[in-house]
Amino acid sequence: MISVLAGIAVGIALALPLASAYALFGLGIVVIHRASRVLNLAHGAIATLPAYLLYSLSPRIGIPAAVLLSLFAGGLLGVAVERLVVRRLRRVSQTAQTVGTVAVFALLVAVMGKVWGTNLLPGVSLVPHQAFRVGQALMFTEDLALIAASILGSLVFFGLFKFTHFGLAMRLAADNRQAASLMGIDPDRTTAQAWFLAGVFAALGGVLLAGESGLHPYLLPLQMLPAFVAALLGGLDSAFGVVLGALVVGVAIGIVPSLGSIGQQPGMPQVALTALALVVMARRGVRLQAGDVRSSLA
Amino acid sequence: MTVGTRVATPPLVNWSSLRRYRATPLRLLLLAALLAWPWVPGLPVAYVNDASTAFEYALVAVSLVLLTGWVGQISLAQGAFVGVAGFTTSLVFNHLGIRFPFSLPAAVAASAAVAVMLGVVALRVRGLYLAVATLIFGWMADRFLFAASWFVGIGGSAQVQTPLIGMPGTLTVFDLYDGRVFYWVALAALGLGILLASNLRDSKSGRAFAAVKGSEVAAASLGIDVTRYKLLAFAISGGLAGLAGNLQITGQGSAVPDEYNFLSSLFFLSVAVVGGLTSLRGAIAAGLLFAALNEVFFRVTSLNGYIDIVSAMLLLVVLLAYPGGLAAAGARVQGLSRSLLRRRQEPGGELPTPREAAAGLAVTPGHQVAAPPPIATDRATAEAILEAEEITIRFGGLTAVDSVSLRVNRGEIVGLIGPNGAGKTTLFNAVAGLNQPAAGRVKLYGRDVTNLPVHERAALGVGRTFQLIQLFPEQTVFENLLTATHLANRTGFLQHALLTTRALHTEADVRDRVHEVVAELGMEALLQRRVAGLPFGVLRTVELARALVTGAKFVMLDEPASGLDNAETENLAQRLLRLRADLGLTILLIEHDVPMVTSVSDYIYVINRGRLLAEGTAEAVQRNEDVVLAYLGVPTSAMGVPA
Repeated sequence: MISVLAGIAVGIALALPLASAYALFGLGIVVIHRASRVLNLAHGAIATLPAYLLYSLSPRIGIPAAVLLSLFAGGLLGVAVERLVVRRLRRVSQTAQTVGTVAVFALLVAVMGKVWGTNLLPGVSLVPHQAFRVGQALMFTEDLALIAASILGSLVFFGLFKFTHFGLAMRLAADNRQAASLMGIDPDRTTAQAWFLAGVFAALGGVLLAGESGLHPYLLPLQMLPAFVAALLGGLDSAFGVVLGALVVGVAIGIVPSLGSIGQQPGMPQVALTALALVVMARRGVRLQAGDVRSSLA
Repeated sequence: MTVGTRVATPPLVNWSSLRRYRATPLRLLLLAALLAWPWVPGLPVAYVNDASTAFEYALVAVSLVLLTGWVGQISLAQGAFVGVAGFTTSLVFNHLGIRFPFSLPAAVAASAAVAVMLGVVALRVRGLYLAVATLIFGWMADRFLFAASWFVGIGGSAQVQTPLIGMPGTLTVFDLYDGRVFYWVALAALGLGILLASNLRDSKSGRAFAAVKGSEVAAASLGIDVTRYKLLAFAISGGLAGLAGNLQITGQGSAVPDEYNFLSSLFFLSVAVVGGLTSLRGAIAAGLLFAALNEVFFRVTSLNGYIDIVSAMLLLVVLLAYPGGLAAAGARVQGLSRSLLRRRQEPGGELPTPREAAAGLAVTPGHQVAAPPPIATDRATAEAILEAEEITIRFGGLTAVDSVSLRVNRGEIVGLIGPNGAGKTTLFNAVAGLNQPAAGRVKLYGRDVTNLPVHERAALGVGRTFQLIQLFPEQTVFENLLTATHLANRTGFLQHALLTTRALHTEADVRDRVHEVVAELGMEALLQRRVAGLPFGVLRTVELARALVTGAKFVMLDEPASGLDNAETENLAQRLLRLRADLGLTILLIEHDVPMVTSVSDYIYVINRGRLLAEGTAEAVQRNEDVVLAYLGVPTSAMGVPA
């Protein structure tokens, strides 16, 4: 019994860095959804490119400058995706916008594969590599960096939503651009800010995650798929929800393998999370409702 | 349906839905070229295999066209469906010794079943949430299903033995190791998939799919079981993807899980989108294009490694600059060649302007409206069509409708009026099944329907229109009306897929039914017009016509006069009276336009702030002091009237 509990504790401790990365990605997904009503499937690729940039730039200009440049590049990348693809497809349909982000994902992944190759490259660690024990779990300084970054990131988000009109402006810009303009909000600028912020957060997550698990053009972006689960659990619109969701996802991935032999089968955490996601979605109501009547000729 | 004017002898069977199978010279040539491709002298066998791959891509693209293009359900897990079928094929081979083609039913059934599981999710979520759900599902398949050694084989690679079909040494032997033989098998499979899909598209099932995509609420109001058609679409789509998966592993002889990961789902989505996402021809063209690109980028050394970049760019360009994809490009070329060859004009190419078309809708002023059936002196004993008993509807803490009762008897026109926000539409939706009352009962045609879903209420013979018009904007008026024949058409999807004689005859019958309503309303000139862009008043009439085509004898109209000018409103009033006389309709209408309601209604209910304020004949209600006050906006409590 005690060994099971200890196993769970170790699992949670080891899962926290991953949960932190999911939180950083998930916050970006949520902000983008709030600002553009789009599911940004390119988010993983937007996170990976800055990590590659850091890899290439740091030997030349040093790590601190390279980190700043990469994060900035992540933000710009976000703005570019919004300006060049998502915004242009706004008039077509939400599906087209989603597929547009798929296209960006495919393009970025292909370009990274061509430029840096498809071998696993060592990521750049931002902190001196050092191992230490937390209880029975062996952790590294990189883990702590991820956790710290996600806590900091979440605080920045809550601060923005709590103490500025940014969150409200974003929602207004997404739902009614004309009304936003009348209120003195520049919807284009608000949207760009949201995507920039999301890009920076994605870049931060990508850079830190690459420092742990290395750089790969496909595998690193795919590693952040669970962030979408986190965003879904949180309701796609809530910053607090997505951080909580990331914690749930991370912990599930961490502890399911310590729950006996079934839990050790490959993919069991994914099965558990899918089931959880289904339950959460099932609570959103089944029947057609009066609220489903929307103007089809707008 | 008894109708005043009959259409002049319609053709017994309308074979127009068969027309696409006419053997034109161009099509025969194309078919011959496809069949002969493996026999082109000196053709490397790689090119034959490429074509087989193209057919597999096209099949998966067709499965996405059906699901995403036609039914509007986005899927980011199509690669997982293909994989499930592929590994099921190897599973039944390795454990049961079942080979192709006998492994095909198992593979198709497995992927269809998995797709239906995802379809169950789609019943509950829509739009972006569905996209996330399919993404999660694909991720789970990737990490769990395709990582399980019982499913994908030990060592992460599944093997199947490609069989020899028939007796060696005789004429009837098919050696699937031979790329040419496999080519024909793949071609036949694609042909089958296309035939199935295109038969479905122009049938009752296809229209139900389009209706689900256009507006689920409108679909349900026409009697379409949205749940059933969503699941059906997922099953067919999963089955088609499964067909491709079965072929793929049979042709390759083995498969590894990485072929079916998230990236493969994105790839298949790209193929479908580049094809145009709604077009079967586009899906085929895109399948060929991507297979050809693969070969070219593999052969030309200087291009090696750029294939992924070019495919992604292609997808972006199609999305941003050419949203119709290859299908639209093809249509353009066709149009161009047509105009160059100075072919005859398409029949019906000249459409009337909306104004001209709408002119036919006016009810002739001199038309004699038959006297309405006398209203029973005691309404409570007459035959009731609708009885809403003490309906209460709450949204959270807000009581929108508070214990309101309504009764509509056969042959009556009943008005439901009240100021903005009185709860009229909320009550209306409770009758239609879109709001679940917290208390009270709804009875239609004497049957308690309080717990019936929307489409089952529609099936009892209830039609409705919406305040926010819920037509399918991309379709023509005729297609919109044809969708409403869903309930009258008793054929099932297998009959549509196989295009049975019965399906064709029924199709002809329901088209006649549309023409009857069209004649009644004088809409002939409008039929081939696309709904988007029609004037507002015309849209209201089209929506009314759609409700009538369902065959409903009880029609509920939600603010039919809003947005109409005076002449149109007068016209509407005349029309309602005439419809009652001609078709024996019973009508419940919500309206703001009090003069219009009082001019047509036999009985009127007035509600305010969710409560019944008054009821009675038009004269009685107009004299009612509470009603006058409510409409003047003076709070009743301030006037000493109990609220």
